[in-house]
Amino acid sequence: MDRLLTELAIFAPAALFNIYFAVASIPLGFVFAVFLALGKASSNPFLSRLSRAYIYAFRGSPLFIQFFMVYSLGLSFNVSVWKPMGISGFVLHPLFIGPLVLVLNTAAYTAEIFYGALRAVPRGEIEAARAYGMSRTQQFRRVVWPNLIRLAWPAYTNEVVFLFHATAIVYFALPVIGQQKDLMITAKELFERDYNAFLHFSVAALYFLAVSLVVFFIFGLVYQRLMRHMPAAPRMRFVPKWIR
Amino acid sequence: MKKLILAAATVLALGTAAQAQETVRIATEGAYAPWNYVNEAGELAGYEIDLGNAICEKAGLTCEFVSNDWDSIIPNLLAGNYDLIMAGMSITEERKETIDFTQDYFPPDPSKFVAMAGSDIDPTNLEGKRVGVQGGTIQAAYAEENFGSTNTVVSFTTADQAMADLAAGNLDTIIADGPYLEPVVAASGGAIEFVGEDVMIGDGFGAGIRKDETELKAKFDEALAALKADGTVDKLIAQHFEGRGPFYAE
Amino acid sequence: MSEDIAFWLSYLTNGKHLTWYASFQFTIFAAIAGGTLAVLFGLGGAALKNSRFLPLRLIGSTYSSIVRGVPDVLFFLFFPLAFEQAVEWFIAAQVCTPEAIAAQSAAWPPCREANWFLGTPEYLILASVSLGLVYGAFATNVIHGAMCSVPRGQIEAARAYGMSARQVLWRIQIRQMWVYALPGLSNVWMLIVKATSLLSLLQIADIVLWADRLGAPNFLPTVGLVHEDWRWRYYLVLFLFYILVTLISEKVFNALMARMGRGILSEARA
Repeated sequence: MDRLLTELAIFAPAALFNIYFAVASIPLGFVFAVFLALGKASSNPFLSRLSRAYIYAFRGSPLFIQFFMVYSLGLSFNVSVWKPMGISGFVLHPLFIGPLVLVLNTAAYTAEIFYGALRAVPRGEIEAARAYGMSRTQQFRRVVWPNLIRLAWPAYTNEVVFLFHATAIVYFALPVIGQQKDLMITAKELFERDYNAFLHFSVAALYFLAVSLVVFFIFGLVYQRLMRHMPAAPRMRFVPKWIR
Repeated sequence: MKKLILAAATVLALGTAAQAQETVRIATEGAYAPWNYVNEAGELAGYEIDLGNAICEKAGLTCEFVSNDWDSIIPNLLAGNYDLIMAGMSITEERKETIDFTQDYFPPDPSKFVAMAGSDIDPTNLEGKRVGVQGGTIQAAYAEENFGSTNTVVSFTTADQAMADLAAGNLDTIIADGPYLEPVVAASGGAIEFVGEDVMIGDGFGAGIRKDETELKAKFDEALAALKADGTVDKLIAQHFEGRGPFYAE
Repeated sequence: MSEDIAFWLSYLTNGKHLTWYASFQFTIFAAIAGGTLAVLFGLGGAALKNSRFLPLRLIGSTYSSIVRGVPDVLFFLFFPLAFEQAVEWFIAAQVCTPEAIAAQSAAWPPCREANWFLGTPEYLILASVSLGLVYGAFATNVIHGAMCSVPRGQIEAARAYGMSARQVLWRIQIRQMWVYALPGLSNVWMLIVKATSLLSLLQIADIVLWADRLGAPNFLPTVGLVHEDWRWRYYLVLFLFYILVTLISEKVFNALMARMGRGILSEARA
């Protein structure tokens, strides 16, 4: 028992790195995804094709490769671009590249969710808004967006949990700076010292599970608030589809 | 059903274990020229490959080289995935706590600093610099201890990755084994240069082995000593490390 | 111009590159074996979840929720290591003598005789099994859902014919659910394909490891062509390779769906 507690204490600072990666990439990924989804639904063929291709490419390839590719690509621009601008150490830092790639990746998945929701917005409501003489911006803000976010929220919750899980591979692909180690690297190093796979990996898994449950809880609260106008606020199921 | 699976697994495991008793497996990294690397033909090559094969021939052992990532090379030795490590590994007191080493097959050699030409880096007085190392090496421990508090120590999975970051200007300096850096500096045509004073860490390079493998260790040491005496080791060193040696000639 | 072509041709066909091309077999093997196992585990899990016996049902749902609750990488690393230790522990119980245990100085395995050597083939099989286990949990959900989508009438008809619960499961639910499960299974397949990029974490010299080694800057003529950092080009190739696989898989699944949906497509759509 004592052993488990010390182990939990060792992993606590490491968990902060995973949480940081997720927290740093969620808001930007969300905004980017909204634009991508609108782009995909756009009537402009160029915009639509571009968004489609982006979403397809980043959903169709492994995050692990994306990490390697973006890092080595960033490195090859170091001398010509980042160095003269004086942001070299910042741009190539795992604490920047990590969230950057996660944003690029999660935006593609989230955009697909939002796109699906966008197409499910009831036509009648949009027509009603038009009949009231609302401008396109007004239509979007008052009718499309509230519908979209409510439809997409359960699936988006899953995506956020997946994103948190995806932070586990950041340091397998990027260089480790000083003692900045996340849950997986910590678990792997401890395992390599005493071969207690069951203890170290279980503790790391425990942290991932715990944070996932917290995410479900918080996003569930948000969902209830989003749905407060409904006669009986539907509770979000804690075990929705986990497929991304 | 469960019993059946376990029984099958046992047979499988015992089968491979019995086979493996005959061949000695030697682990190497395959990305640390000229110690060990993968040549144009896609085969493992380098000083340690040639030396390992020579030793095995002398000792009458059947050997097979396997490649393994550097950062898990000691754990996988202890876990029994292979019997020896020949991967440019320095003999240190810290490593001796977990594994044993054979005699050294390359004498103690200073570690060196490199930087891009024209950058005035002074390794005795580093501050706010980015120091690259290969994770899990003696230089990584040295850098963390000496520069960790006022500099950023960046660890990479392979030495070549660190070189790539240095060449791209993402690191100020790299500390690594002299024999690894020398050909790189020579081949860079002046773009990369040595800086500062060399530091002496490690007690030479030897093959890592599990502590309980006394029999294999004795065989290996005996063959290695014989090859040192007859000049084979010096010949291989001269062949792979330009201008080095002879170290072991009587 | 022709010299350039000759140069690149010989560069791209040297032994090192041929090894890289050959290493695609590991990725493809892991994907296919992992996919097959995932469907098998998914069928097992769904059958457990469908069981009328509560403990079995609990096992089924615990399996699918625990495995999905942690990152796939974690399980992917943990399972082969834990399995190796379990096998070694089992052998140790059979072959280790007290003297041998006393003589062992390392933390693991208990004695030298109990050691299980893991080479690339063993790692590859373990990796496939752990892919199967992880994504079997996803497939469990998909298949369970699909079994529930089989029209009630068919199951009732089977019961009326006097079929036992096992017969209903095997003859009706498993035969009829594929068309409902295919969209979900195609999703699981895509996940497995993407997860095969992690093979190098298990000491398998796969496409990712070779891309890194080939692309890393080389300064020594003895090692091969001297070049600077070319890694992003190699990763770009892998990036495109995976997109291509996704594209082909999508086409295949669409064709499969069109074929399997013949006759019951209207129901499947609803």
